[in-house]
Amino acid sequence: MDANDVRDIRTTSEAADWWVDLERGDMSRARREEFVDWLRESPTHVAELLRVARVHGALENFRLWDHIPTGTAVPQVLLQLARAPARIESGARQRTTRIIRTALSAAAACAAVVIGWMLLPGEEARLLQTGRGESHEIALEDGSHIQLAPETRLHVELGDHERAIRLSGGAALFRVAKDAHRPFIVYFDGASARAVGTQFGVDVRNDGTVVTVSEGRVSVRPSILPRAAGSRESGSTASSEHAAAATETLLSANEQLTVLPSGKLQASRAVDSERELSWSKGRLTFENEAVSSVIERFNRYNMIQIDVTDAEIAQRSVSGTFDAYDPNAFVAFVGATIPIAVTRTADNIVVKKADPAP
Amino acid sequence: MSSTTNQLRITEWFSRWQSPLRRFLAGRRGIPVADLDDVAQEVFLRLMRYSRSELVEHPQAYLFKIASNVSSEWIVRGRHRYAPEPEWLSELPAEDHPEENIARTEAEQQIHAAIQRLPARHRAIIKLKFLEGMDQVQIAKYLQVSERIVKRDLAKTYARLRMELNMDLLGMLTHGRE
Repeated sequence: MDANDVRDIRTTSEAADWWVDLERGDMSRARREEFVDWLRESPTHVAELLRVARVHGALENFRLWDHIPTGTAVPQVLLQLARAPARIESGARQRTTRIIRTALSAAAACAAVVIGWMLLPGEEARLLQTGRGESHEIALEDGSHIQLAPETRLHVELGDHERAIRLSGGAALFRVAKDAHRPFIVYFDGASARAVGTQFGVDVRNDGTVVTVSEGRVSVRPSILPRAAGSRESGSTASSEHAAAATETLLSANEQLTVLPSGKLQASRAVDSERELSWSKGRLTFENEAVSSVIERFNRYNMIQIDVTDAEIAQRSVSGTFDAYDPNAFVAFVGATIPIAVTRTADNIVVKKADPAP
Repeated sequence: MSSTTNQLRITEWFSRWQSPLRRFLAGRRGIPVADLDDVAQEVFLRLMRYSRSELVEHPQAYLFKIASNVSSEWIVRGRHRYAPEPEWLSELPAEDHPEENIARTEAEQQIHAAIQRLPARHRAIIKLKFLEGMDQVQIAKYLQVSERIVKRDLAKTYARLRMELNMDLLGMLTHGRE
């Protein structure tokens, strides 16, 4: 190993040390001065720092963590959502989920730590699913209630330390019985909503998952933190509080937020939770929503499907509250504002624009 | 410094260097490793144009802003220097580039192998960091070790991976996504 190699190794480890400091984000002025001086000492320093940045970038995009065992170093099992590699690789907005079942050996020394939705030995997850036009209310052993909208799929697992629900699709309203020893957590794609004693709804839609609180408080935390994860390092309490705000949002009654498919949490907004959650009572409320989108919702609640072929009708925006189980009433409502021709078959209500009267 | 001022500083800092860093790491194909030193040379020269006190305010922001500017200029120039890419190829989304997908898989395999070779605690630390999104403070608490140990292990890991990994392959992994 010649002198050059030794110097290179030293530069690399210096660059790595700087990088780790940069990530923490709490560099004093003096330290930053040292850093600037180090950078300006040689282009090799700059080059090494950029290379370390690239390593960081690669680790951020690395997806095979499930195959990395960590042995005795990690003392507990983390309950978190399994990543869905299909979504990332294909780039499409599919929400495929994996439910990983692993038995933990008592000897933690050999345990592979699987980050995923864990079923501990002896416990079973219960699958609840509703079809089109079906809604279902279920009472859980702990006294909580879940109201499932049509076309909803969820798993229930009440464990010793946590009451966990995994919502794969559709919508559900949760009335959570108080149990301070076991938080009630609803996991969905991109985030989780945690409550102690409360009532809130989670609605998985194409453009994001909407969490609405009607009573009590719910904390929404992203499961896949925004890509700036490396930067939110902090040493002081003030900055770590700020970092927590960027990753976790507390919702109170009549507040709502949307978790985007990217995993980003939108800012919470004030809503009339009764209106927003009226679907749980069989009413659908829309505000300036396109007819096509309204129809999509109706079609979940009814075996008879509304079919709108005309772009002009489909794009019209409507507001109002409707009986979810009465598609005809909605069609009549549309007909009140624009001339339509309605054809009914056994399964469909086909709505077309009517020719103007001569 | 008051805690409010401290919070504001962190906000600014956060927003100021994350986008330039993202921009530097993103973009199609990245810089071939042979050129990285040339890019660094140019970045170095541009850094000199600023006063020390300017840079000290937000060194990372300046560094990565300059680095991403230089690398995008480089890539544009590179199009003329290397065999030109057919237009339609650059318009395809990343997923449709078969040679990129193969390279990306290779890169992931390489990183996987390198991570497997790390000592157990080092592995645990980067897994907690990159999979769970924990920061150094949280990792230290979770593993019940000091923050200094976490810092040192992280730095060692970065240095080691930089040595062991093929930078060109790494480029395939960091670039061309989303």
